[in-house]
Formats: sequence, structure tokens, C-alpha cells
Amino acid sequence: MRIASQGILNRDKEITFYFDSKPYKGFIGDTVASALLANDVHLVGRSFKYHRPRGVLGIGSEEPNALISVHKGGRVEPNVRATVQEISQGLIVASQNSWPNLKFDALAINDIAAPFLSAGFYYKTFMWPPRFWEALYEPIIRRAAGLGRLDPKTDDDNYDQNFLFCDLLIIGGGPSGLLSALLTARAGLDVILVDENANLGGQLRFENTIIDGDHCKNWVDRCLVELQSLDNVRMISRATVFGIYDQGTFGVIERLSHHVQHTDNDAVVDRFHRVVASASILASGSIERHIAFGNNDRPGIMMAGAVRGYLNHYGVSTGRSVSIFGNNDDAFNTAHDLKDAGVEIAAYVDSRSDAGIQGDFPIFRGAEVYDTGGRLALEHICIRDEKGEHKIQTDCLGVAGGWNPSIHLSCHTNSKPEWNNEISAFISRENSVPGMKVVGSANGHFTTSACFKSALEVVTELLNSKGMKIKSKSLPKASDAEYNISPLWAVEGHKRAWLDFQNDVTTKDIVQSVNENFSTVEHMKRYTTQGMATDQGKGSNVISIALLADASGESIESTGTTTFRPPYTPISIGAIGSSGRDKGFAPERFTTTHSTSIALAAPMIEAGLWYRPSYYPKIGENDWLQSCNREVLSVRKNVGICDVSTLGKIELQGLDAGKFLDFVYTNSFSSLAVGRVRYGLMLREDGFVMDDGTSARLSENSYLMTTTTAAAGSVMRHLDFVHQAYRPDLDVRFVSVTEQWAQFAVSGPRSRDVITSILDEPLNKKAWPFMACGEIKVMGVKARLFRISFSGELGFELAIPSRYGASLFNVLKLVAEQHGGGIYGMEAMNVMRLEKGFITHAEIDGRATAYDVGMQRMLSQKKDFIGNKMAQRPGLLDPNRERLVGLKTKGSISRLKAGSQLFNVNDEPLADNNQGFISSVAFSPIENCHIGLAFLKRGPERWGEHINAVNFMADNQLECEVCNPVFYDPDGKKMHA
Amino acid sequence: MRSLSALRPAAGLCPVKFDGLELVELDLSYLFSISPFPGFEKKCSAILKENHGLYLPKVCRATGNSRVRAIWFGSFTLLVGEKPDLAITDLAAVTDQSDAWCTLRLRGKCVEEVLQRLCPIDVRLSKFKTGYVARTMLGLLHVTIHRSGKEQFDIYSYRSMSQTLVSEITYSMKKTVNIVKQNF
Repeated sequence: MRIASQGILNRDKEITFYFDSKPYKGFIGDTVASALLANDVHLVGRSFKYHRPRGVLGIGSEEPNALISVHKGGRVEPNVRATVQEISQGLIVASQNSWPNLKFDALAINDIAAPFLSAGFYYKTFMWPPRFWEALYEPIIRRAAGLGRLDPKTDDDNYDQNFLFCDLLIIGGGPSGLLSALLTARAGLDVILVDENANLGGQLRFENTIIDGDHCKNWVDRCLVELQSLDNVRMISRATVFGIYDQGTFGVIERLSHHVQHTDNDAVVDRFHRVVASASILASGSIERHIAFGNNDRPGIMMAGAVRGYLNHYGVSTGRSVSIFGNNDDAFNTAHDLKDAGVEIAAYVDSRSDAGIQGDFPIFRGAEVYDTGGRLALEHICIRDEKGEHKIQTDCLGVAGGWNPSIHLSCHTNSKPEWNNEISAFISRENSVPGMKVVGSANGHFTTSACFKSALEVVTELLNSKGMKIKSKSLPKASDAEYNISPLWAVEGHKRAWLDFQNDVTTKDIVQSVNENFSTVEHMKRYTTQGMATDQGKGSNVISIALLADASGESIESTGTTTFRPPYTPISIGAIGSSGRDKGFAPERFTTTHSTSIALAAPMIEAGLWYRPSYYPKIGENDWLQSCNREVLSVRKNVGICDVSTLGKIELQGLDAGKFLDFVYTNSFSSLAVGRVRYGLMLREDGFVMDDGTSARLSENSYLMTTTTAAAGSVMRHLDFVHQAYRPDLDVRFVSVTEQWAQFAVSGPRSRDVITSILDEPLNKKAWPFMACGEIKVMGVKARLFRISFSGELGFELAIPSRYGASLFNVLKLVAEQHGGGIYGMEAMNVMRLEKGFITHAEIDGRATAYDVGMQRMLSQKKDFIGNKMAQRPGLLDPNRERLVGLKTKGSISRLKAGSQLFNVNDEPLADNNQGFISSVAFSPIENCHIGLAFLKRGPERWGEHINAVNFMADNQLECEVCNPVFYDPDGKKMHA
Repeated sequence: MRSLSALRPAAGLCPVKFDGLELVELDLSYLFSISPFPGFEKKCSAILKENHGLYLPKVCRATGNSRVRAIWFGSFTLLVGEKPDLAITDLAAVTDQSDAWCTLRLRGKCVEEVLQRLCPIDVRLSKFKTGYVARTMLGLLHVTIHRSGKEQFDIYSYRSMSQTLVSEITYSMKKTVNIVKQNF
């Protein structure tokens, strides 16, 4: 219920939200949890395994019980913590994991069957018969178990991302974080302060502590006003630092519009910040832990700190008659605040016989709560002390088992925390994250005064390390008492006592785990599922470890913790991957003729990042093959134009440019005459083929190397490496000019006519033999011409500055058409290079040697080159290797498939009988059959043989003839024409 | 006589404007890569000074003015705005790159926010000062960025990726404007 005089929530405007279709009232700033508690709703969900009724346990992101589904914009987001989700006008949320409804859940029968469903039950029970697992057990278990249901709809939320840099990242905006931010920002550091809540202040939001003679709320407000006034401070609220990574990088998800009901389509839901900070301060606070006692999971049983927080911040009393059960002095504050607010305290139960609590309410010292009662809500608790057993009527029990520093983040770089006996909790080790200091309650300082002191110490040290000085060392004065604790993990009793509420893990499960020899902490976690799911055991880890230590006879320190991994709290994968959505998946590279090709309805195929026209369809053509065949025949008969700008182009200059090429290619280039082009083969250091292409000598000290489209980047990288690592002595410089030049292949018997008709000066046939190159002028523009061919026909490649690419392509197309030809795409280009037996990366796939592709004679004996020695290894020259051959089918119907495996005609298609594979296939309109290039054992010796090509994917096989890989014009007369 | 027409890399894609943010394509006329041969760096710098009024830039810096600039580009310097003097060609590898790069200018009051969404480097105006240069990623593109003014960056990317470049920056400009609106 809401108490009029309590809380700091602005109650000017009341709003309505819906929980399980029923309307409730609340205020802006309320969470679903606080608003439901204000409406006396304690039952908010059902537990994971036993479907026990569950209520709100905590007040922050650590909440294990109150998981809800949020319905918004036609979609459902499951497993949202009611303690984090702020309400808005019209917000619709629903409970989870119950059927037909929350109050009557049919699967609560599991609770009755609990003796049979202990930890390890699934592993033992559903082992046989084996085939039943996938067919029967798993589907049924999956339907019955689980928390919320995933929404199958596509996530069309709008996300954002950022790269932020700062001198100091402060994680947590509680007293330590705020003071650290003030002190460092005043000194001039560029500070980012991140807090996961809507309002900064941390634990001070929930307290009545007096700071500098004033309510702590006012101290927080004054801090925020000053921080907001400073240009060197960025405060990000509703943001979770979910992970810490190397080099001072932090992953942060900022929730921007989860608290707003109606947003436009452009509104960003989550923003993913990658923060890089020179230093960081972890002020993530601490999390209160439970005590295990019989039936400690009923709705109405909460953390004592949460009871206090709901009262002091939201003005909500979590019960009409509240009890408190604690083992430490912090629980006193809850009792006093409740009493001051006029809430009835049914009992104050302290496990310590010397507890210093005083107050006008029933106090039980040296006592324990050992059982509770109530079906859908707490009705009574059972207490045991030296005077005997007592049954006390109460509708809310605040449990205070002590505080655990929130050290999750400090362990992300593989540091393990250490046990601190004084506070009975784990704390971070020094320098657990390079550059990070842990302050405040995150470091075990559980009073506001101690938090301030630790912040001052850390900030002073940080500023000193940067040669800066703190402006004032005076600290705010806080009025809080010491924190004393006497650990109590579990109360003895025969009733089930829950440790991990989210996974329904009880004290008995821990004992069972140890009895079955799963006694290390990592094994226990897997066996019992303790510490999994959305809360990752934030409230249950330490108590479970303590009980594990007890059951296994080890100390808590030696038992240790499991491994903390990102994310700290559940985050949206959509936000992390937002930049890779749609076209953000990969950049698009377009040639200068892209628009023209699109206008001509050419389907595009991707070649690396490039988009290249597959073929140019014409009216009346029904499929790609018709278009492709037409384009091939057009080139073979007349002339064709193809955009080959995507080939890598690297310009090399310097006195040693030729020597450098000699070193990276297997053959010689320093001997190449100016104005000539030579084909080159490039090996990796292991002797396998890396790439191939032509290089032209443009002048005495200048070459132009071309690479395949696919390997342009890797070849450039290779050249850089070779120059820097192996031959820094060579006087050579190189730069990519791929983008500078648009380049067009002009191929076919009439290509010379086409070229001649567009040049400013006529082409002299004798001056332009095969493999010649030089500068020319095309319609007044300086260009480069290369007499090379990838089609096997008389051919040229014409390069022009890219700004003229589109225009020249249109001219070439027009002229080619006048000569009975036209433009052609990748399909036709592939057919023609296959007919000619030219290799691409389908053949030089990283596993092929020069010997394999029949180019062993290109390995120069007169010089050294990259890969030379390794290429001579006997294994790479073994005649039994799979080596390049041609394949052709009988007739035009039978179709080869790339990737098919080769077997001798009389052999079974088994791995032991494998003879090789097909690397490329095409239909050849010249040969009028399907042809292919393949790698076949002893291939060149087997021309004329027949072989079976087995396509295991399509489950068919085809007999074909092994032949010369050069199907077309094997003596090269056409190319040299 | 037929003639060839020229197209700029971002033709039809720019300018883009959003609430005080502007993305325009620069017409820089000439871009030449200059990579001095070993031992000739100082001489090259002197020639540049003599003929173009600027020195070779240090790593991650640019020299010159709005008309002619020398920009550090990693393994080479990009001379922007003028054709290099022939005297330098004996001392350095000089390559015409005038058609290779798409150069966009992003300017406006929230320019830092636009770039910090895309570039994984520190583009805070207080740290990335005028005259600073960085080779970095913009989304998934390799770019060189040069802070050329108070709230102004010049961005150099491969010509073939100009569509993606404009699309990425436009997206970020739009997001920046929307986030500002959403936060208020």
C-alpha cells in the first residue's frame, strides 16, 4: 500500500497500467514492482521448475522472481524484471510461466512431485530409450519449463550504437560513484558516469541517511546539478555496463525508450556504447543476500533492504504487518524506517543474541525463522528461539542475510575474487582489471561514510598518477552506523529452503550435488543449475557457495566462485548487432557502370564486396543460360564488352620495382620490356599458389600489377609484408590504383575495330602485339590500353580514369553493337575462361600448387622467390597429386556440378576410391556440352579416360571424359591474331 | 566528335542536410599520392613547400590550407588540390589518385556525435583537433578522416563505396538528430 507521507516519488500525475489484463494505478517513476506492491499485489509469477507462487524479492536488476512479459507495439518482450521496468500510461505487462492463470497454475503439480524432481532428475531419468530424448522428452520438458516465451516475430526495434572515449569511466552512480565523479571532474578529467537506474543516487535513493545535515536525497540532487553543469561530464542513466574487455573497453547498453509507451518509429529503444576509458572506477554497489529457511520463497518474503527501499523511495509499504529477519545491523534501518512511517512491525528476528536493536516492537534476539505459511501470499512465520517456537501472523517478511559486493564486472578479465571474513563476502582483488579501482560497497564498505572515504582515497591516487591534484579533500559527513554481521547461511529444518529462487535450487540440492561427487563449485552449478538464467545468481551465489563449502568440508575461500562472464544483466542482442542489420552487414562496392547494368536489368552477383552483372537479358530470352550463350557466341563471333574494373590494380614504382616483382612472383619481371605485359604466378610462403595476374611495365621504374578481384586485398597486404619484413632494402613504393581506373575488356575478332574507332589516333597492329601495353587517348582523355585476353579471343583491356567509366562503357556498348556484338556479364566471362582453361580462385583455392595447375615451368630456376623452396617439397611434386584436367559430358543434356567428386568408372563412390573433384563447370555453346575443370589424380596422364563425377548433394553421378583443360583454341592463334 | 562525360563519385547522393548538419561532396580537382623514396623525405618536403606552400605532414596530421593540402594517408601522403610539381617525381613515387577517392565534408554542430556512432576512434573535438588525420573504420568502410575546421571533417573513402559511405553517414546524421529530439 502507498503511504501518503513517505517516499520521494513525484505523485502529481497518476497513470494506469495493466498487469495480467487488470488495470492498476501508479505514478511516473514507479517500476512495475513498486506499483504492484502499492496495489497490494504480491503474487507476480510462478517459479521455474515447481511452479511455486512467487512475489517481488528485491528492488533492482538482481531480481530473480518478478519476471514479466512486456507487450508493446504488437510484440512481446519476455523475462523483463518488474523491478527495472518503469510503468507508463497504458503499459501492458503479464506474468509468466503459469497456465491457465497465475493464481491457479496446473503445473503447480510439480511442487507436489518435488521429491521426485530433485537436482539431477532429468539427467538420470530421461536417458533411455535414447531415441525418446529428441522425440518425446525434450519437447515435453521444453514446453513445461522455461521462463518467458520468445516472440517469434522479427525484431524491428530501432537500435543505436556509439564509440565513446573518456579519461575516466565510473560505473555506478551511488554515493561512491557520485563523489568520485565530482572530485575527478572538478580536477578536469573527462568523465563518463554510467548507472543502470533511471535516477542516480544508488542506495541513497532508498535511505534516510543524513548527509551534511540534510536528507541524502538533497545531497544527491546537489551533486547532479553540479555534474550536469560541467562540460567534461557525461552521465548515462538507465545504462548497464554489461562487460569489461581488454584495453580498457567496456560494453554498455543504454535503455532509451523502454519507459515510454508511445514512441514514433524512429525512436531508439536501446543504444550500444563501446566505451574506451584510460581509467575506471567500479562503484557498482552491493546486493543483499537471503537466508535459507523453510518455505522462504513465499510471495511477501523479500529482502529487508528492498522493503526499506520501497518505503523510502516509492512510499510503498510492502505489507500491513511486516516482520524482519536478519543477522546484521543493516536490518535495524529497515525496522526503524518502517516504524517511523507508522507501519506495524510484527516481529524483529535477529539470529544474534547480542543484536543491538532497540525499538517499540517485538524483538527476538538469538532467534531464527524456520518456516512460513500461506499459499499465494505470506500469512505467518514460525520463529524458534531459546524460549521455544512462536507462530506470528505477518504478510511481509524482510530478510537481511548481509550484503555482497557487486563484483561481477571486476572478474570479467578472468580475475577471481577473494573472501573477506570481516564482512563475510567476496571482494575484488587489487588490479583485477587493469586501470580499474573498486570503491564503496562494491569493495566491502557498507556505510556511506566508508564509501565516501574509499572514493576519496581512490580518486586521490588516480589524480596523483596523472600529475593532477584534488581540489578539496573535505568529505561529506554521513550519519550512518557501523555494519556488523554474524554470518547465517541456513536455518536447520526439514522443510525445503530455497537458495536460488530463479532456478528453484534448494539447500538439499547442494547436499545432493556433493553426495554425487559434484563437489566443486563449477560442477555444483552445472548439476543444480544454481546461478544460471537472468539473475546469474546475484543473490544466491554466496549463500550457495557457503553451503557447498559446508557440505564438502572445505572453506568458503578454497571453494571459490564460478566464473563471471558478460553480460552483467540481460541485454538486447539486437542492440549489439544493430550496426550489422540490413545493408550494414557489408559495404557495397559498385563499379562505375553499375547504374547502367541495373538499368539494363542485369541480375547482380557478389564478388567479394563488389556487385557485378551476371548477364544482360534481352527480350525473348527465358533464362540466364540463353542470355549467357548469346553473349558467349557474340564475343566468339564478333565482339563483347565487359567491365573488369574490379580486378585489383597495384602500381609499383622505384629503382627496384622489377626486383621486387621478381621476388613475389615465380617468374621474372625485371627482364620485361617497357610497354609489355607478362602473366605472373604468386606463391604463398608454403609453396601453394596465392594469386595470379598480369603485370605491365609502364616505364623503366614503373609497373602495374593486376590481381584477381577476390585477392586484391590479400595481395596488397602480402606485398606490404614482404617489403617491410623481407626486402626493406629494395627501393620500391606501391599503391593501389584499383579505384582510380575503370577498366573494360574488349574481346572478340572485331575488338580491334572497336578499339580503333574510339581512339584519338589509329591503332597500329604491329605496334600492339599480344601482351603489349601503353598510354593512348580516348576522345581526348588519357587512358591505358593492354592487349591481353581472358576470353581466348583477340582482346584488349582499356583503362580510363573512373570519372569517365560510365560514359566510356556506353560508348563501347554502342560501338560494339554496331559491330554485331554487345556487352557481356560474369556468366559469359566464366564460360569463356573455362573454355580457354584459364584458372580462377575456384582452381587456386589455397590447396593447389603450380605443379597442380600445370604451371610448374613458371617456377624460375634463375632467381629466388617467395615459396620457391617450399614448392620443391617432394609431396608437392608427387605425380599422384590431383592435377588440373578438363572434363566434358556426352551431349548437351547431361550437366556437371562443381564440387562433384571423381571416381573411376568401376569403383564404388567411397572415400577410399576418391580420385579428385570438379572445381568449375559451365555449358559451352562452342563445344555444345557441359565442360568443367577438375583436379584428378595423375590428371594430365589420363586425357581420354572416362571418369564418374558423383554429386553427393543431389545423389547422382555422371560419366564424363577427361581431356585437355584448354577446350578452345589450344594453340592460341585467335588470342595472338 | 564524341566526348566522354565525367561523373563525381557521390553524384546524385549529396548534399544531405539534417537540422544543422550537412554532408557535401568536395570537388578537389587533383589528388596525388606521394611516397618519397628512402632518404628523400626532406627534399620532397622542401619541394612541396617551394611549389605548393606546404610541408610533408607528420603521422596523423595534415598541412596546407583550404586550397591545397597534404594529408597523411599511412604509407603515402595525399596531395590535395594541385598537381604535384614534376621535380618531385624523381624523389618520390607519385600516382594520380584523382578518381580513386570519394571525398565528403561533414559539418555542423553535432558532427562529433555523427562520427562517434561510426568510427571506433576518439573523435572528441577536444582531442581530435583541427589538422588531425586518422585512418580508421567508418561503419565497415576503411576511411581517412581529416578535421578540416571547427566543426568540420573531410572523409576520404574508396570511390566504389561512395553509396555505402553516404548511406552510413546519412543514417548517423538522422540518428543524431532523432536522439537529440528523443532526449528532450
